Amino acid sequence: MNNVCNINGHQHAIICNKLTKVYGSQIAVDHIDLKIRYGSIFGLLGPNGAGKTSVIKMLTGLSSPTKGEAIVADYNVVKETLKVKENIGWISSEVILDDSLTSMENIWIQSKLHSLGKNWKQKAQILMKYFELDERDDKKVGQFSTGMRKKLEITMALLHEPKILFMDEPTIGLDANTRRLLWNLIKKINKEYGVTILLTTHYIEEADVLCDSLAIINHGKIIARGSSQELKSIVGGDILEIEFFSDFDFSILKNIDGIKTIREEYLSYKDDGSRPEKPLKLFIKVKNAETVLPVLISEINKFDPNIIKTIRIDKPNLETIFLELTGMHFKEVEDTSDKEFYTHKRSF
Amino acid sequence: MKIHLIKNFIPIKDLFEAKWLYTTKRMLNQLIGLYTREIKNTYRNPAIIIVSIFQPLLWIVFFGSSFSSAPKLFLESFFHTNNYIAFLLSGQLSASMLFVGMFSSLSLIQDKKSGYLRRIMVTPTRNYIIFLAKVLGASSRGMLQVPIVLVGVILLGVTMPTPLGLIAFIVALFLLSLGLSSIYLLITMKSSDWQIPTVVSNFINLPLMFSSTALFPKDNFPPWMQMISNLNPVSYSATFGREIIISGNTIHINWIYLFYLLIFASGMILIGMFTAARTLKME
Repeated sequence: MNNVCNINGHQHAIICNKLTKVYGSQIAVDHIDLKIRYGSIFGLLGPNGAGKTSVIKMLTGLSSPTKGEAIVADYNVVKETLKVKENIGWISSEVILDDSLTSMENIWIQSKLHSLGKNWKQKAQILMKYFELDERDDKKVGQFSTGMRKKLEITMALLHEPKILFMDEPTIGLDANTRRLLWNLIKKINKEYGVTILLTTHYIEEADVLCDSLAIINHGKIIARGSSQELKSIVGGDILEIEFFSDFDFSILKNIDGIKTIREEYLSYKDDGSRPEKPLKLFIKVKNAETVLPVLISEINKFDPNIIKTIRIDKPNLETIFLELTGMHFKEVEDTSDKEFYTHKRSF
Repeated sequence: MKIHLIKNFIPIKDLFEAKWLYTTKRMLNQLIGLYTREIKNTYRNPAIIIVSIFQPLLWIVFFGSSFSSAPKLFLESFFHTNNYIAFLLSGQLSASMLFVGMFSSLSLIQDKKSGYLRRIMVTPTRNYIIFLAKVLGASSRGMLQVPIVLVGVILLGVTMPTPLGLIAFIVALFLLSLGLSSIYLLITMKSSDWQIPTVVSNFINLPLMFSSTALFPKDNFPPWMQMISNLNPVSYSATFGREIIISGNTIHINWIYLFYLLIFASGMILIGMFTAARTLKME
């Protein structure tokens, strides 16, 4: 897969060079460098508000970068916007169709916008068959199920045989079954049509299942990149997440064999600098959770037998990578993205 | 910057590379696709058709009948015809193009809100094609009412004009509608706020209607209002159509009004296309 080139011999479908977008005083995208190979499925993973949609907007020629440049399908997104648009397809997070028209009418308009010749219908029929849509269905698409609407949208995006497909949060708001179905479809179209796919998601599972390579984005910056496997090795072990009923001096735990680091949960401190009244929570990185945990529990019990509230073992996945890199869970970043956070690390 | 703008607007480079045929064909295809969508959306919604036909008809029937028993001498001296409905018809149809214009900007906002505009904008469609399709779509919708209102009016004692007269009248209304839709679309180019077209229409539709010759002749207007009336495109179309309706033919009509309307429509469309090329965007 990694050696796929397009006909011109170029290897990269998308190249971003210090791509930056500033809205007023807010930096949405901050000097992003990206290289995405032809034929791959690339995932841009990050919490809501991390800048994923802004990146897609710039790469699809909808908004121009404040700084930096981007090459999409071998064309510059600012200077050759129309050429870029000829070669890309786009699938929105919320399905966007003309609800008062039938599926064929929707497809017809799309074919006109790409100025496809008379064989548009043939192409559409092949795609619709492939996605198990009924071409004779003359219901208005407003009455379709979400899954069907999504399939129709993908049909429309593939109609002009784009080199690159942008999918902005493709499975948001879908139920588990439809999501799985869509994952299979995405893999299939990547394989059979050879389309390069850039998708953004804030579902860690999705990125893990689908993407050949990934970049994790937070506050407009790419904080990690690589394949799912490579990223997992960043964490370098399991993470034990232990919540306690009361505060205690946890520095004694660092001497246990197999424990790599101990970190307290990040908290937003009160204005007067005092600790908010929230139970202590530790993130302990260990070589192997199963061997360390018994020792760890007995050590804690020596100190106070009834202090542990919950224990959670995280094997390395993208969520733990994000946690490792930012010190926060995805959800926490989304919940508190406006508030000012500062870190608090006790020294031992 | 200026050179860059012109280059973007007219694909000069393409002309030299003989790609112009392809480019023109593509633009035409895009325009046909988007225009057809506008038209289909109109026919899919019978409420729009019924309202747009009945609104001017109700005006003509109710407002027009208010002078039905007025002394003939008064009508002759004030309106230069003894049938006020014949006087009002062209004015009312012209004034209702103001509301057609408002619908065009509402439909652009609808496309922005639903994200459909973004769907169009990620295809190689130039912004001014989107603008043109909207203007043409709204104006065509406005033309729907003309034949049916005319039929209704003939029942009220107005004579049917000659075919040439009828065509000239419809062309005038279409030009007025193109210009007014362009103005309304200009207002909504940058924003996607539902309230703006309604507020603006309340603010400009009534003054434009009453300061035009749509309802009354301008002879008795105060001088300042006569000045507005002379610049008001609704007046051109109202007066032009009225000459055709009252005389029933095109022998004595003043074609200069049609010429003014042509300038108005093409001016507004050009301004709209340039503005769309630069500023039409999703928020």
